[in-house]
Amino acid sequence: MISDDAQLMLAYVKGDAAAFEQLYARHKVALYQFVLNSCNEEARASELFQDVWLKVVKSRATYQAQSPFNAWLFRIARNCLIDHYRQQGRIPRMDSIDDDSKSNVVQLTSPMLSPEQIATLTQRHGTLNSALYTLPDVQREAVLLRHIAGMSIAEIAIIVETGTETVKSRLRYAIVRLRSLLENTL
Amino acid sequence: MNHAPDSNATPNDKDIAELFKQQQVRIPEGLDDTILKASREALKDNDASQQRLIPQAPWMAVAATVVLAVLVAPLMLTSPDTQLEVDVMEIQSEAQTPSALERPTLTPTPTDEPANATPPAPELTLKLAPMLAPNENASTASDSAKRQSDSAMKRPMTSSASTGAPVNTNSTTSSLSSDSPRYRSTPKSWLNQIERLIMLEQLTEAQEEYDLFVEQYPDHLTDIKIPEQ
Repeated sequence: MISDDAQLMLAYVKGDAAAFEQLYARHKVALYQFVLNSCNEEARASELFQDVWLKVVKSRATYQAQSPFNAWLFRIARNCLIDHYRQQGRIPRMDSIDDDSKSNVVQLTSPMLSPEQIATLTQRHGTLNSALYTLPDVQREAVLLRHIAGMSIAEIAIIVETGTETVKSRLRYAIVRLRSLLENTL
Repeated sequence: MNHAPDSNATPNDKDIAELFKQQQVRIPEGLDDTILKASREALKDNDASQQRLIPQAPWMAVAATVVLAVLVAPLMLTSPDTQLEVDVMEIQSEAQTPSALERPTLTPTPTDEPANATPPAPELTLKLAPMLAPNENASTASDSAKRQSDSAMKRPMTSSASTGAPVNTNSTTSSLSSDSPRYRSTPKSWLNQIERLIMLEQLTEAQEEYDLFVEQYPDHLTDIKIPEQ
């Protein structure tokens, strides 16, 4: 069975530019959030985000409709990130995060919140962002794919090329760790 | 972000999920336009290249057919399958002659001609001898030989239909041109070739191959690192 996303991608491959616009509109926020939370550097995240979509465009003929589009998209994103880490020769750590980069990550969704609520949420998100960077890469990746890309454990397992039990284990450790770090804010 | 129903869901992560839901990112201005513009231009390039090919297409098809006919026809005539069919037909024609059929069951007598004087039919002798029981008469042997030769004639056709030529089921290679080197047929062989080029310090070629590889398999993770020149 071919999903809606896959049909859009196939339509784009056949020359329908509007189909790509729809696909882009559907996935751009999640993808940008994933990339930004992964590299925590807005300028670099923009470049990577652009790279991922350009690879999608360039490699459109190789897309196989049997596999879910978002899995393909995030696998490309993951490879771009891994290449980025290799070029950097390092994995971003908590001590590389400054206040500016944190403020770029988090925007509040609801304009109806009171100033106190906004302050609390800003603090909470800042803490969440920092807490994410204390996690090992594989755990952070699993958390981001789960909660930002909205993927099931089986889908994550395919993307990161490991078993579902391993993914569950990574998520379990990550959640325990995040919860202990965010104890005061949750 | 809504999660699909998932029986493997990690329990009690709803509080963490809520935090992510409340996050909202701001995609820098201009990125949307750049990406969408690139997506449209890629289609235009595609159209242009197709239009360039269309007027040539009928001539290319005719040329390809002629080349195939010239190259493949002699190969077919000398292919093992064809040769096998010729052998089987020879066997069949010999099997229908009584002297050939009787030869395996005959008891040698001193009056028989010497072995080297008989017409050579070693294949027939070898193939029919184990199949014929001593008390089988000539007609049974003839039927049996015919059945054998019929099935032998059918065998090559059946096997070539079932095995056939190697079919490339991987559609990811579909965008490669037909004259691409063989090592590009699978990601593994392609990566091996890149590694080989790196070992030979042909770094420019390695980089070109790597770029092509990434374009072809963007979702294929590699651990190849091409040293800077």
